Amino acid sequence: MNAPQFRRRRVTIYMLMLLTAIILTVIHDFLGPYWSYIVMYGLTVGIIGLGFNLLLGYNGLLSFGHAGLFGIGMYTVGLSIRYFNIDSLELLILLAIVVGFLIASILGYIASRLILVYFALFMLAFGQIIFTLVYKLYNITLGSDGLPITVTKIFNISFSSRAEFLYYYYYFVIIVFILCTLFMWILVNSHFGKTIQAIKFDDIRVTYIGIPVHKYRYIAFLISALYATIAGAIYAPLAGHITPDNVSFVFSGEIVYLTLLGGMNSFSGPIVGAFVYTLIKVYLSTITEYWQFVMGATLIVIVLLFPNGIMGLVGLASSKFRKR
Amino acid sequence: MAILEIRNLKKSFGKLVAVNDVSFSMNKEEIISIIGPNGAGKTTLINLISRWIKEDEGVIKFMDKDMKSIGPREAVKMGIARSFQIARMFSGLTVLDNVKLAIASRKGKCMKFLSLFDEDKDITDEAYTILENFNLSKKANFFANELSQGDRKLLDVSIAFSLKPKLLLLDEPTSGVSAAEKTNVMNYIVNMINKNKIGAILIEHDMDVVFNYSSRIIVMNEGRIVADGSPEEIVANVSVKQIMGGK
Repeated sequence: MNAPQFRRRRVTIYMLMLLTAIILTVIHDFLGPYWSYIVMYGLTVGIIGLGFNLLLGYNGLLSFGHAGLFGIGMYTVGLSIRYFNIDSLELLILLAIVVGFLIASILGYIASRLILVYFALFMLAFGQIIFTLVYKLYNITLGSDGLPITVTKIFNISFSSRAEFLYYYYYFVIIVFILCTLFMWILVNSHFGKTIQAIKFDDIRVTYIGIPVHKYRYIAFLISALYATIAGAIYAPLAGHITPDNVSFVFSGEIVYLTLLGGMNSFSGPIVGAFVYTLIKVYLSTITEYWQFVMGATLIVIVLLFPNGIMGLVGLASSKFRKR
Repeated sequence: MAILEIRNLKKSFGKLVAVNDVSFSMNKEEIISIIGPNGAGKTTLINLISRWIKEDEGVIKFMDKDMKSIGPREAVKMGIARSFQIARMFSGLTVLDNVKLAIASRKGKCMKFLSLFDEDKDITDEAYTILENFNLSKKANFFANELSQGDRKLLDVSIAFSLKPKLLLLDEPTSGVSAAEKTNVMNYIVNMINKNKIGAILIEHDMDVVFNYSSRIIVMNEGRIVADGSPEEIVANVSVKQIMGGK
């Protein structure tokens, strides 16, 4: 794509982001508390999907442990409220980012040296360690009973009830989502973004143009981990009560699922996947307790028939439409 | 002035001695072809010079600097670039992006997080100039995996050239290329080598290519150098004829 074409595309993307923010804001009152919650959940999962796909779609690394990073964000918020009585949302999220950064910077040192199945298994093991810790350290985390989350302040504005908090929290989640999406779009289209894509295609060639592969993988891992941590930190006040369920490998699998569903070769794939996944989950879980079976079956269909996911199909349809 | 100096180089893989007591030096702007039967140690030698592997014994000096502690990435920064027997490129990126990325690396731009790659006019213009020299500019927006074998080889070399090397290592630049494309591929490469006044070491099996484009030929067999001289001297060497099976 040449520079003028790309510039036009960039403006379109920025306008789309702005439009999404406006539409989500305008429809808020029509949605009601239930659907507002669904939208917030979709946006939260979209954030983790974006971060996850930085590794899978752009760097070729499949992580089965992003739930562990999500859990770090979630439990940093939960434990900070429980043990330090912090009630400021922005401070809680900042703490989660710091803790996430510290853990990811150590984890990334090893992870960035691994590829293929070794990376996937390493991340699976990490996720399970975090799960076991939050599940078994009952005296600290309350294990499977979970932790209550009572955030009452956003930018020092207090709220009298959870309903009121969630009403305004909706806007907060939109802002974080748009910022995360904007940053990620710029990142994947930056010099750095192009370099990590090149690493996916041929890391030996990358070495022979003078680039330190591990360093780039490390930074990509760090950013991806921070997205998962931020998503976890945002999810905790939304859920109001956190349990180890969202730290288990099942949730890691769901992150893989939504990314493949939306399409890992497209920037918007994980976001679209996050919303479709949320709707499938909400809808199916009301009609059958075997909803995970249906999700598994759809995953097989996607992998076999539509390897580029929903956005791949959309791209195919639009190119056929243009040819007409 | 010698840009590359190799003294008593030795490399073994288990009991197999792949490179055995190899010594030669190379002047700036020389094009040296290394020939020899399969298993002679040619690719191992290239891998040693490009620092993919480390020597067991001996010394490699590039621009008077001992390369002992130098890795492949540092070698690139010092001015050694290479192409590969099976062309290595970023198959899912466009031809233009392949070259742009190498230029961005040379200019230390790859760590930029917030500047957009596609809007970097500076590296785009330079990439088009390089692609023009290799007759690839019309295919700039093709994905690398859509190219013919000959064009892949040219792209591989274009990437190496984008690094502005002082020494270019070419591992079989015409392998897998059709006979019709071979001359074109070599003409573009050698023109660029001459234009940029750099040195090149070429591994090649095609003797027409070797004798038409080299200023000097080194013959290897079983890890050792058995002959070193001008194309005319090598043609006249009887033992070379025996080793190369009359090629």
